[in-house]
Amino acid sequence: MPATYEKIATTTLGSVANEIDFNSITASYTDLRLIFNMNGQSVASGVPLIRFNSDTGSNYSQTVLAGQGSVAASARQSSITKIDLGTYTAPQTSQPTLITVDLFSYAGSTFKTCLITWSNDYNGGGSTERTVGLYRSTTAISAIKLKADGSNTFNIGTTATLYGILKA
Amino acid sequence: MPATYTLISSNVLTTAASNLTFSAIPQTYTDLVLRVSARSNDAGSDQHSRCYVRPNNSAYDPSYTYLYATGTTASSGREALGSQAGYRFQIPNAAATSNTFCSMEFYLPSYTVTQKKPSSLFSVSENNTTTTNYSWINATAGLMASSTTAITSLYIYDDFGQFIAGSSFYLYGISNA
Repeated sequence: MPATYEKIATTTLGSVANEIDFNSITASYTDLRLIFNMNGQSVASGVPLIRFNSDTGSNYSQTVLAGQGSVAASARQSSITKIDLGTYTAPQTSQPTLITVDLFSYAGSTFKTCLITWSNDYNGGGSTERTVGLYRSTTAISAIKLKADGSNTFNIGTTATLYGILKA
Repeated sequence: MPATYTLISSNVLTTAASNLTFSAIPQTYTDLVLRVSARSNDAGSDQHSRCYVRPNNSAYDPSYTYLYATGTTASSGREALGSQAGYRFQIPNAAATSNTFCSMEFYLPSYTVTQKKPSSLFSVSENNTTTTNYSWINATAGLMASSTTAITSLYIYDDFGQFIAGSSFYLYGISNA
């Protein structure tokens, strides 16, 4: 029986980096899951983003639900050039953030929907967020880019792993 | 290729229990996932019981930020380090609609690494009721910041009563090797 849940690729940063890329993603799975354990970033401002297939066009949109510790909030953006992995709080310099990205039917010929969870608490601050993102492309996703905001860098020890989930 | 998603241990209760522990967790995986389906025998009129997951069952308390909804509005809160006995989730109790159990997933990445550990907990409890606070959706972002040691056990307990027979607890290891 073929494996249902398989690691495709993993990166653990031994030096700081502005981007983490997954390229040449095979189309042989049904869904993708990305687990991104971000071990802080260089500056506590700006949120990381995700893009697909090196597409920097205004082909993305997102809706966010968030708990900020005192209020629940929601926001929406359309025709944007990326999907934000988080919206309401920036990662800290020495506190980790757990991000998961589920990409459904990533190799299909319809627009692509992703579900992002953002878990960022730093003992008195942070947010828990759920984002639904839409990538308006009918092309299979073969590349994923995780990028820190501007010239920020992800800290050493940051880990990103891409898994493939197979339904058959 | 070694399995990526492996069941480490399971516990399906045949009698009520106020707590359980997954101990001696192998240090050979990358991440841990705990999945729970549970109900309490507590008879409180608010139809839910408060439960906790406590990594390493130590005196160390995590901090967390949470988002929850109970049927009318969405709200958020925060618990500071040292104020809570673990990561909190709600389950239906004896006063809730019969045969209803919560579903909960607790994701703990890089549990063997000597660094601060974030976590994600998502729990739901639907009771077929229109009464506020009798059903819950909860998303929690957690942080274990004071201790960077590896996680070797998970302690789960019902703060108000006991998990009833039929409650199930599954611990999985995810490997990125």
